[in-house]
Amino acid sequence: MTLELRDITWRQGGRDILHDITLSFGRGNVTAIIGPNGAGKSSLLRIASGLSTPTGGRVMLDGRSITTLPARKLARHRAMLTQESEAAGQFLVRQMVMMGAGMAAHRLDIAQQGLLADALVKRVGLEGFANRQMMTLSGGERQRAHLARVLMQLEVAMTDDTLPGFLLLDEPISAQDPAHQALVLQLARQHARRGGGVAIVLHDLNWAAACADWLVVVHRGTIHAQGPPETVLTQDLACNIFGLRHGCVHRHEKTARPFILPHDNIDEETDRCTSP
Amino acid sequence: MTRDISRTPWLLALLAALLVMTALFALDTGATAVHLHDLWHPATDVTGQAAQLVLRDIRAPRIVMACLTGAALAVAGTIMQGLFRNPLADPGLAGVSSAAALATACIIVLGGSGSWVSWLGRWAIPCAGIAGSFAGMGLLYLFATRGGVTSMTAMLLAGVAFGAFSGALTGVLIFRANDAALRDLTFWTMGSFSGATWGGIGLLLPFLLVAGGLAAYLAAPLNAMLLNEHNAHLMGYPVERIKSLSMLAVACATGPAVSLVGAIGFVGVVVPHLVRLVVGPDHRLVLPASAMLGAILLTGADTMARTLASPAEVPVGIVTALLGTPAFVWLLARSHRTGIA
Repeated sequence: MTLELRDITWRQGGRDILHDITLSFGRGNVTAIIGPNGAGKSSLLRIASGLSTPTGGRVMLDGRSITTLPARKLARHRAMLTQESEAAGQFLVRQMVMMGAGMAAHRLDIAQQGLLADALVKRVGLEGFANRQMMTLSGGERQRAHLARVLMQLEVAMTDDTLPGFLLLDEPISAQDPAHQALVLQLARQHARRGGGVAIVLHDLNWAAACADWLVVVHRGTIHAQGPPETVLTQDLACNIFGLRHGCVHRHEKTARPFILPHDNIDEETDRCTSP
Repeated sequence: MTRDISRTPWLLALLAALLVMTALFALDTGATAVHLHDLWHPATDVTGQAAQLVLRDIRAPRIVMACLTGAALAVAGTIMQGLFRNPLADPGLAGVSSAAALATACIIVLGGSGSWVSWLGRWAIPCAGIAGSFAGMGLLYLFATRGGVTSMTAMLLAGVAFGAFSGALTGVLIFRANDAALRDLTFWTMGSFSGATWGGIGLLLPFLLVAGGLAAYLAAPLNAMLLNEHNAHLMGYPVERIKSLSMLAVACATGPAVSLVGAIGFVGVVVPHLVRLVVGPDHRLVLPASAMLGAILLTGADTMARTLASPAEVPVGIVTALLGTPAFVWLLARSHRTGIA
């Protein structure tokens, strides 16, 4: 019961964006994909979702190549929050969330869909916003409204005895304040605990180490390392891949998971040199 | 800003009632003093027969044609705006109208003596227009499609270029035209329902049924397309099929109508906007409401066209443009203020 990428390569504009990617997302856990800017994280997620077709290799969902699945069927088993979701200005939040039920076959009537949509709007912290127009929302609120739509897609499929599907999130906390960052990642973990698969592209290494069961480090279009956060997010990785300073990786007292303090990376020497 | 969704079924019922009232009013009004009650209470046998003739063979087909054309243009405009996610898109951008105009001009100016033209008789011009509009749309679609993926941006830009080019070719034909052809052409480019017949409606109807069926299928997918193509795909919609079926729907709704009654502007752009202001962006409501409002407005405009300067007729395209331009500018100013455009 996995979403697998086998020997994936992806070329665009004569350049290798991804190569030799073999990776498997399991149901029941959260995988965070980390890496520097331009490493190919989002491309990897787009290929896993079927949005982009790889130049080489295959993406398998529970043993079947996703290219053989019609869009409608695929939508029952995976949903994705993209970075560039349109404002869809005049839609009400509730209308937009209900759109998630669109093509996935399910047994819910309109009233039941409405109840589910209301529950999801509440879960993403937008209680009281259901009848607001999307364009009146802030960027962070809008991002969470789209998250509710994406969750709706998998939830309605689950009412039809389908296993919890794969939730793919591309930088879902980029527009969120700290409390809502925690809320969004908590929702992702809940989906995994219910038996769904979760893959999240994250820039924040601390959130990645804190919430993920498995870390995948993408660097220059290939997988540099993967494993549990404790073994992957090492001092060497922080220095060699992310260009951070020695001594910046610490261990959390209670969880023993690694974390990085920004304070360790401020270079006071450089400050002094550049100031007159 | 909130919107009460519960009032939308009432709104559709209200529009339907308004449409029936407009049609009855239009049937009762005209250059000759024939009214609906003459059917039941004729002053003499002669007025009874005249009433039947005027109402059944002149006004009724005209009103039905105006209703169908208004609905078709408004539906096509709604689909175009949804598909291109551009509030100013209209069927003219898809190359349909300009191709129909070019084909029509070819027949009017060059085709006078061709054997198949005389065989088709008075249907030669609409048939050429229909063929031209489908050819124009097909050409653009093929141009914008690479490896099974249609680029809407390419289609839009090519549509503008195609419109300009076929406009130039039409210009060359106008340059070559004699006085009679010139008059026919001018009349066609302004649009008129004066030539409406039950036969013309019979020619139009199959295309509109196809367009209507497609529009019903496309309503929910077009909502998803507003969130952009990627999201629509991720939500399980067959994006490329939606695009090609939308184009087919626009061609079916616009080509035959434009070929039969000439180019009528602004209905396709303005009506969907007016409707969205009231019912919101959901295409499952916008499409039927636009169809009805388009029918109402064009029937109203045609009634004005044939009564304002009676017994002479103002081309209906002039009426819609005169009324539509200020409305369009108002919409532009409004959307500029609210940051939509």
